[in-house]
Amino acid sequence: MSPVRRAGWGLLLGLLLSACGPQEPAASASGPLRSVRDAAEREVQVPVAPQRIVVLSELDLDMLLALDLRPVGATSARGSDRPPSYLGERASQIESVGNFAQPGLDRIVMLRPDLILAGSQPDREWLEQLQGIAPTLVSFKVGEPWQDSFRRVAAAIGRPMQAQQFIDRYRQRVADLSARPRQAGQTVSIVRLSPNGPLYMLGDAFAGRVLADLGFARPPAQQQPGAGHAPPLSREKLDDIDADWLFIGNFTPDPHGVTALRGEPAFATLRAARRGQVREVDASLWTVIGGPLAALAVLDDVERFILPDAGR
Amino acid sequence: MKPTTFLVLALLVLLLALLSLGIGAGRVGVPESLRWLLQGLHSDDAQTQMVLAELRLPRVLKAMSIGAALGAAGVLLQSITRNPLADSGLLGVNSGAALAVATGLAWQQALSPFAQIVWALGGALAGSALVAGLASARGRAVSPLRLVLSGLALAATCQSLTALSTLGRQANLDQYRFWVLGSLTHPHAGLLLPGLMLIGAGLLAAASLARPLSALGLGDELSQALGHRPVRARIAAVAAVAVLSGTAVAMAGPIAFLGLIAPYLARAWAGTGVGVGVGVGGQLAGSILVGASLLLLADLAARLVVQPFEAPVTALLALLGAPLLIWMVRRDALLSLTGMGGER
Repeated sequence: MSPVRRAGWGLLLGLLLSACGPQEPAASASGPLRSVRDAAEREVQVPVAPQRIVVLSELDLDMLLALDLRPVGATSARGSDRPPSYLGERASQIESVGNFAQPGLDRIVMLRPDLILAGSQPDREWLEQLQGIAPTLVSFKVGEPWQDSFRRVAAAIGRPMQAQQFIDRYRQRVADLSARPRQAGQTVSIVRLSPNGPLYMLGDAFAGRVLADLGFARPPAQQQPGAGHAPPLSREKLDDIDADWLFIGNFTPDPHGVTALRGEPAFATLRAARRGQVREVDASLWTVIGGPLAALAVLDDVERFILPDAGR
Repeated sequence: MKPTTFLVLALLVLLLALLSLGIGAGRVGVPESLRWLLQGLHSDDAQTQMVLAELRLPRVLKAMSIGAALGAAGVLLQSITRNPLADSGLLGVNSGAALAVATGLAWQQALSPFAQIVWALGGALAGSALVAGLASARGRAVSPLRLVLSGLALAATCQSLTALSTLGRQANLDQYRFWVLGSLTHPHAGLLLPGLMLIGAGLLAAASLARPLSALGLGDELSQALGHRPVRARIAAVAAVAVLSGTAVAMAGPIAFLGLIAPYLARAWAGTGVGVGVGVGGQLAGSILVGASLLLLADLAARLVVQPFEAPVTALLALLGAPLLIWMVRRDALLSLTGMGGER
């Protein structure tokens, strides 16, 4: 939605809300407030125990579900009409407020939230409009470890202990998996498919950090700083995505993408391809800004693909 | 067109093709690629052989043939519609292909590269056939104005249907968006040869239409008096355009702008100086060479500007083409369709 249209919607909603009477921000009804500092350094008054939370990013949805809170509304995953599939049943039946990065203000208003988690939203004007509906938090900074975002959000909604317990559980699982016998010094490459060429994930990307916790290194090109991905890579430089293991994420349920890539001569010469260590993974898990549940799901994938034979 | 200009353009295409073969993100450079050519497309180094034979040569051939096809289609369209702004978007070719790809995606959820090309080509052919049919309905002659108007109407219809069918599902929209960007990077190995053959056939058809279309520039009556059949020539030209730009759009997605500016550049180059007319044949030859060199150049730029990554070729084509167009307008070159006075 363009800023102009957003502003238009905001104005309209403002008029509607002010026409409804004196009880202005709908949220103030839900009890005592407290002041929190969000990821964009904004001071926001939020309810002490929010009940109706709307989330506008995959990471926010992930964090709330990890804290056993069901949001009343959420945006869909990138390139999909549904929540990320790794969340499975947990995320079913949550009202959609629109596609990724395109939430509909009207739908948010209808849900009467008492708190909105706006992801890493940098647009101040947009935040002001959301703030007009309910207290709104910028929940994470792009590129920070998921643990930091998780602790911040958990503290803001009054569940810091639960977050710590979850993080401890993650650490324990990492320790268990790390203790399994495996070949030393293996590298893992993380790539997203695009028709113009594969995009590799940069050094600060979420899944790479989980792999680093397990002690897996990434190939040199993928150690550059940055939380996102590189542009489509030339097929002449496919060795930039080569490693002992190659994980390819694909958003669309398109079986042809990976098959076609595997069939290309330039791809077949890669070390990972020759050793049969190429795996297809869910792009909405491996190549996004994931949270606590995503981190566990990545661990599950690694266990399944790289460390399978060691018994529990 | 003067033989020297023609020769210069041909040499330019050759030079750009050699450069395209010799420059890329990998280690293989110009010396290796020349040696590879001289050794009969063979190298003892497996990596060099793979890069040149599997990646660069198909890409050079693709850029060259698609550029030539779009250049030729542009000339044909501009002369049958007598509209200097005509490009293949006008005949429902691009929008027909787009609608077909979107329909295929909605129907099958995902398309293999081969299926995608079949859908696109089918859509392009159906789109232009429909336009030609609409323009000649009720047994009336196919006139330039009717062609343009039916093309506009069909394009608008196809675009709105495409929007409706892609916006419904986020996953389809994504795939469609990738297709619509246009790209030469994908090495659809098995699809190159059929594509080249279709374009070759289209170019031959275009060449055989040069004379009747030149005569058509004099007006329908005069060309009839010279023994040509205007309506039949137009329909044949529409078919040639459909094959040429349909194949191009199927191989690389819709590449805009080239079909519009290649004929202009060719006319500007060829028509300088004397008042000698530039027939459709001369325009065709020039536009084919200009189209091929422009797309080769844009593709070269696409792989060099963000090396070792790939930039979108359509964006670079517009970046390179627009200044050329502006330069031409400023230079006040021969902007009319022909120098023969057929327009007035």
